[in-house]
Amino acid sequence: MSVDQRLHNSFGLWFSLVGAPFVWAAHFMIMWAITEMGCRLGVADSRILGIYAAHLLAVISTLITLALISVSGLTAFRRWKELRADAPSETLDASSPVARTQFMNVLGMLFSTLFAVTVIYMVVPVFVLPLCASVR
Amino acid sequence: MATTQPIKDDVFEYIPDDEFEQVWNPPPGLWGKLKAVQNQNIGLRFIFTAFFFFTLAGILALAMRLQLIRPENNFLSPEIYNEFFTMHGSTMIFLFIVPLAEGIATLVLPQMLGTRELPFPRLTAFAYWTFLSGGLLFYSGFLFNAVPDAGWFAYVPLSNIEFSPDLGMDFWLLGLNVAEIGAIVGATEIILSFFKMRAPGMSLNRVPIFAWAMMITAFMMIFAFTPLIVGSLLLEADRKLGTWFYRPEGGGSVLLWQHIFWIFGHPDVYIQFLPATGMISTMIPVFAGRRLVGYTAIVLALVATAFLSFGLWVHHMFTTGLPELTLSFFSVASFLVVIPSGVQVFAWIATMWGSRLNLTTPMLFALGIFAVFVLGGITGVMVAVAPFDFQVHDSYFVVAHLHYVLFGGSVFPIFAGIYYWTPKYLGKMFSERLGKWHFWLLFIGFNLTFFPMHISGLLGMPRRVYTYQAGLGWDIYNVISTVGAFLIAAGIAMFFYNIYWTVRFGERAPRNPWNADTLEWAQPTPTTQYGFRILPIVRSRHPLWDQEDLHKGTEQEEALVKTLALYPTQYRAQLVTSALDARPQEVIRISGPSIWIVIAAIGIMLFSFFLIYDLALPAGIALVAFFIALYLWRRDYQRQPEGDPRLAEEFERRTGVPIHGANNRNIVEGAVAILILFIAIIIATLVFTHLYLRVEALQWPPAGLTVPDPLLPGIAIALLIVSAVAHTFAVPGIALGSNGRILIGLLIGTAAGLGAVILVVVHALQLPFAATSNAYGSSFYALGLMPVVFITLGSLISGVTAFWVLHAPPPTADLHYVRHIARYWYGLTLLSLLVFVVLYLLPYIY
Repeated sequence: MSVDQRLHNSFGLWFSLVGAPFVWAAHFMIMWAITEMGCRLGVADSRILGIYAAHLLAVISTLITLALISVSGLTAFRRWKELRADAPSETLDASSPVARTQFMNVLGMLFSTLFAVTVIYMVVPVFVLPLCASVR
Repeated sequence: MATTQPIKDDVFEYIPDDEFEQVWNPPPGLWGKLKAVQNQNIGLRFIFTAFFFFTLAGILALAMRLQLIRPENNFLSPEIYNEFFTMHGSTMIFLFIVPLAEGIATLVLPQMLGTRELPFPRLTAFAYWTFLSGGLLFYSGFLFNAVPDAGWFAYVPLSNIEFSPDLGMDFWLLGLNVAEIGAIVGATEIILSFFKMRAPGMSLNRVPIFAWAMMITAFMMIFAFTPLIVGSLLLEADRKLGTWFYRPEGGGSVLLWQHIFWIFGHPDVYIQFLPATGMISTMIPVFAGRRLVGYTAIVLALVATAFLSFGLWVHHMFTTGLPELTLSFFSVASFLVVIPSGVQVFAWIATMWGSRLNLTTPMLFALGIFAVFVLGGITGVMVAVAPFDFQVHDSYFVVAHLHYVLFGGSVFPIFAGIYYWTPKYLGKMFSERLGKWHFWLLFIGFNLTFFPMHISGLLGMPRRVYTYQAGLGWDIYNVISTVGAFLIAAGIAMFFYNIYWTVRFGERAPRNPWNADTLEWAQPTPTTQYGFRILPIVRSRHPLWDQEDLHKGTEQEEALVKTLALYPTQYRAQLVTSALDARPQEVIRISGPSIWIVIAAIGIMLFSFFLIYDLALPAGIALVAFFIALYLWRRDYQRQPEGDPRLAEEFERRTGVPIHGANNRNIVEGAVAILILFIAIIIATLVFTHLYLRVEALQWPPAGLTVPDPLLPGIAIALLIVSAVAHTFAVPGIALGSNGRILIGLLIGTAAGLGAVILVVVHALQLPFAATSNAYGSSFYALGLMPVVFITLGSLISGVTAFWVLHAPPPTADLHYVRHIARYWYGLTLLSLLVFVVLYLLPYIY
């Protein structure tokens, strides 16, 4: 892909920018659904191959989520690396598209890192707290 | 006042600035003021009206503090106390902080972004008038002895008809809904302005942080306010129509209301906080005399906060008996939102580090956030720990926390912003002495009022009690809080006096008194109604610090800004630029003054008012008046003259930018995308409602009912697909110049859409249950019929366009918006398919 194409408004540009937070949001809702619906239906603490169904679903959804966030972050990183040589200094440079694209790429990398940590942090309680217990 | 040097040109005639301004000024007289739409008029009105409601809320707060100054006081009765805390909280949340932030954005953004106006000025004015009329409707409950008293989050069952049988809650629900419509409309304006109306060269990495903060806030408003509007209408349906959404005896759920309310309520904290941080990030570099440290990190923080804020809502529901794991997810998100908030605070500290701070009044208020908000943030982390929250839930500790967050995180920065921009928009310098008195009275008063509440809360004092017994250890803390509250009032009085003093005696402000870096300070003082006649060309993130000449750019950019100062001048012309790099795309004519905006807002307020009193006929008349006003508002705009086409051609030849007048190409695309998003959130809220009720139900559908036959709705879905395909067929007609192809596509699309509507209505009439039978019925009808409303709207739009093509064939290029109509149908078809799956197929799986 040419440098020019990387500067254009495209799905890749936006996915590498905000893909991670959107994927996190989906993961968050799935985790919530696993506990709320799974516990009400009584399937969360049933076992599949000796493993709690909720644990299994949590691990699978987390792995898929982390994979997607990685794709987003790595896309941003790759695009950033390819444009690095062309990036102008910030001040008074008329060729803003490259600087703007790099700004979006850096943001994309930061988002991916932050939301990957968030996803990992969120899945830990599933293995620590008792499934379906509630404080009343 | 002339600000532009005369420009000589062979083709375009130069008109002096005062003549140019005539086009932008509102008409004279009171009538003209009512019709005004200009962002500066509307922005100032938002701000003054928000302070009017703030004053009312403050008086209520003082009365509550007087009641609590000593044990077993009887200054207020329990009933009045309930009404006062409900009105105080609701006013501060719905009618003060958010509208004030919107008002500041409306006032400042166009000039800050180096342009002339917001994209749809009449919508901006409509946002203001609905905010005002919604607020007045809400407060008119006092006149009719129907004041809401169920708290600002209106928990069911307290807010249900059984426990709140008078009309107070109806005033709360419908009055605030009208005001929220204004908030969403205003948010749409801010988003479109951010993406499509920036000075040439202002690429995304050069946009001022305040604009970033407002754009992100505006998206959050659409995502958060829409579920609240839907949830409130469902509660009103429970109260008025006898549905069962929140009534457990019919299969409803009280927790459903809490979920929907807090899906709005917690992001709303950040909706109030982010504009404030945007203001702080704007001011600190100016008063530190240094560039902002961590521009990219702050944008990251703003966006990350926005996302994470939608994963926190259950931390308001920790004591409702939800599974521990559920609590942990929301607890984790509550911890993690500290990261982006902390990033901002550290970036501000780094910016100030080693600088010589200019401690003016706005900077003092900006520094106030460090002391106040950070403490609120720390107690926020404490209540995010579920076991701690169990102990302090519904105690004065929470009251202290929320005031530290909202007053510290929003009100202090808002005062900073008001002082900061006063010289530009009132044209005069305020009194520093009075400003400092204001700050110290407010700062000391605030801490005296709210810090002791941490202790009284930890000692067990519950919130929302109208009195307490002596000897529980709470007495002294309540005395201190009341004294502090009066100091706050003295500080606010000082502020009002300062504004009066400024207008009456203030010195004329210089153009850029703070040596600020953003573009609004390049404007003369006081500013002109048209903002920039010659648009700036942006080549830096800090244009006023880095660029000696704001009009220097490429040859084509310079030709554009110069020619745009000369033509079009017969109407309000505005440049539209691309979303990423702010490359010029087209020149459009934006709307001017109109009285129909006010009438539309009054129509929708009266419609709500008559609904409260079950007056169907007057409500119907008010609704019709609203739609007629909408129609006339649009027709009035389209009938204005477009100008000489030869001059438009010459303009395009010189600048490479077409003039599209009223027939804009780019803004409407974004507007349609936001409309589809709005509809999607409405449908998503109803899907969530349906699924939540299903999860809570023992049997779904309830005993004696089966899932309705999907035949008719299935055919309706097929017809919608036909409609989407027909619109797809029409779209290439624009490029081919074939009005006939467009007409065929629109006619088939309209017929198929109407066919789908008829089938769904027939199906609904045949259902063996009613919306009032049980929660399943209530939810089924709400979800099933909601798409019908939007399909009818789509059919109307396609049908009217087809009628227009048939009877007065326009140039095909003017039909470019058929592309957007097609997108509307794609979105609607997908959403209807989702509804079909949830209602008819999902019950067989779960």
